[in-house]
Amino acid sequence: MTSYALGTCWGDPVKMLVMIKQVPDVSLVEIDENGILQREGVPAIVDPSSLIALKMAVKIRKMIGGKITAVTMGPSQAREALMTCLEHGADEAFILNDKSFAGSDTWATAKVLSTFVRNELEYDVIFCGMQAIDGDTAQVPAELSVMLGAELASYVNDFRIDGGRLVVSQNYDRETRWIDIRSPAVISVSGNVLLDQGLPSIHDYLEARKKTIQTRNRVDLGLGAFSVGINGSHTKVVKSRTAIPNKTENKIIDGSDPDTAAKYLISLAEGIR
Amino acid sequence: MSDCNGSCSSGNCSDPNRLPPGILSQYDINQDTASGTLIWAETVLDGENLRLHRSVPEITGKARELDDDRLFAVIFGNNDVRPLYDELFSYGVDSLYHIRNRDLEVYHPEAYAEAIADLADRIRPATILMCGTPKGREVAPLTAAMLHTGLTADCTALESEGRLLMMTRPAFGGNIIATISCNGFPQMATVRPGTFGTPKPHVERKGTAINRPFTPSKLKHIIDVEYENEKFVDIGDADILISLGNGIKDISTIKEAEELALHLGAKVSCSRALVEKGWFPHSRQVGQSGRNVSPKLYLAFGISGSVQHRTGVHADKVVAINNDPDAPIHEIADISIIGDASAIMKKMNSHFHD
Repeated sequence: MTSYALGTCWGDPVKMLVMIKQVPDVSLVEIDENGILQREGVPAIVDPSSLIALKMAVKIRKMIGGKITAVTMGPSQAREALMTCLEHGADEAFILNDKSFAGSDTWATAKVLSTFVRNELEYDVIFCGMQAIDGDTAQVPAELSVMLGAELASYVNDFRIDGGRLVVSQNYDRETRWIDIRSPAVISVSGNVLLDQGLPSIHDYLEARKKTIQTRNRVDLGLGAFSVGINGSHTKVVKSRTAIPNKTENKIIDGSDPDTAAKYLISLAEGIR
Repeated sequence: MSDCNGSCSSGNCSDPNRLPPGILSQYDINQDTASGTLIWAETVLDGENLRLHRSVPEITGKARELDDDRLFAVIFGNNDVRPLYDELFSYGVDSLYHIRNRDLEVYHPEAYAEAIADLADRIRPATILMCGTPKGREVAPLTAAMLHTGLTADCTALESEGRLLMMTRPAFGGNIIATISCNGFPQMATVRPGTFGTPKPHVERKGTAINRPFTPSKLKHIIDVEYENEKFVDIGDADILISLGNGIKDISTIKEAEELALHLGAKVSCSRALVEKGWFPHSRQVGQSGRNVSPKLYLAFGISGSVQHRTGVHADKVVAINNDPDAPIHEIADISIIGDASAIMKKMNSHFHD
């Protein structure tokens, strides 16, 4: 391992944190005939974008060494998510778990995470998933970066280590930007990029069982009851309803003869033009 | 005295609401005086030309619709953005702040957020709106964190109750529609492009443009920016969309689709499955984690139609071409064609060859 593989502003070894979110598998959520969402029995999974963030950290560790710490805020079931992360290569894991954390919006979540990081962990770079599949707000990484005074790199889909610099590529749809990241930084990894999705081996699996998951609650973090959860949130949900897809009366056409169907579609499209 | 107006100090007045002598009206000093709306007028480099992002008129129009308070806008760039002043005024902007700094002619998320937060401290708007574009969704949470306020991302509806904004957004993979409010000012939201229509410009409207110098505390080390306007296809403004899904098994069908798009004057989009396969860039994806689209005609070739996909489709007419008569896409389809999507597409192309 080269010393200071990442220049002098970076620690050696590089300390990496990965923020993990456990989410319900929304693709399996069903809506019953009364239009009520069936949350019960929906399995919880590690958010796919969190996992991609972890894989990026593992990839960097393979190249220059370093230590990876997985952190999640969630109910005690989220330990399973951390276990998955340990299997996928995290060195240690922390769960921030307290009843009063329930109902936190992105602000309160970022506050809990940033307080924990400031109190207990030294870090060079924090990896987050860009947006989780359930909430899909993509706000926590940015808020975390402001609260910690770290640089933010969003939509990261590629990186290279180049002459002591960590250079990341960001995808903004219309433009791709390459920026030089300096420590401390928050990198949010875009979920639409497929880094190699290797599965953990039996060895990783057994190693993970030896590691422990540490727990911290609100008092450990030194946060007041009014700075977390619903009380510590700036936004509140006024009402929510199930999205019922509008059922339209549809005309069914037999498309077994492609020629007729094609002619029909062309006439439709030309009607628009 | 019968004609006492309550402002005398004779002490004979029996009006219980009488103010103390010399006081003309009473204010609640604890009330937040924030008012008006601030929007970030995001610009896009289109080839050589700088123009407003097409979502800017949408949020400007919506802000005008919500209340009659002052509408502020902030824009970054050099003198190239001057021609855009009148366009913004025509959509209803009253005061336009032009942040002048050479470094900020290029997009720097933290510095932009810092400038907007600094401006918001000065003008104290009740609401800050930004476009739900990749840049907007990066600057907005940074600004919100700097201002210590809440943010609702990717809204699909906005309503006002007095100064209070009711922000509606899909959550839980599009299965739930939640209405959210913020407990302080400024309240912030980003709005999904294509959600609100473009308002009619009033060319005669005038506004004030104000140059505002600003020095950011930190800048990013940008190594390179590649603009991809040639490769980038904006599926949000197409009249006809040819959309492909997991039912398309052969990658050559994409070529067929692109050719058909040329014939029909359409654009090609896709469902999440094909982005995951790496056949399409993310910018072409329709649905919850992709784009909201509102074309006149949406041709869904081999798309099964998950809830997440269906929530993104707001077309006048949806045609589902799928060999599975039970696919959920038929629930939103006006016309369902039960047949082989690839074969039908090939045939459509061959009609144009004749």
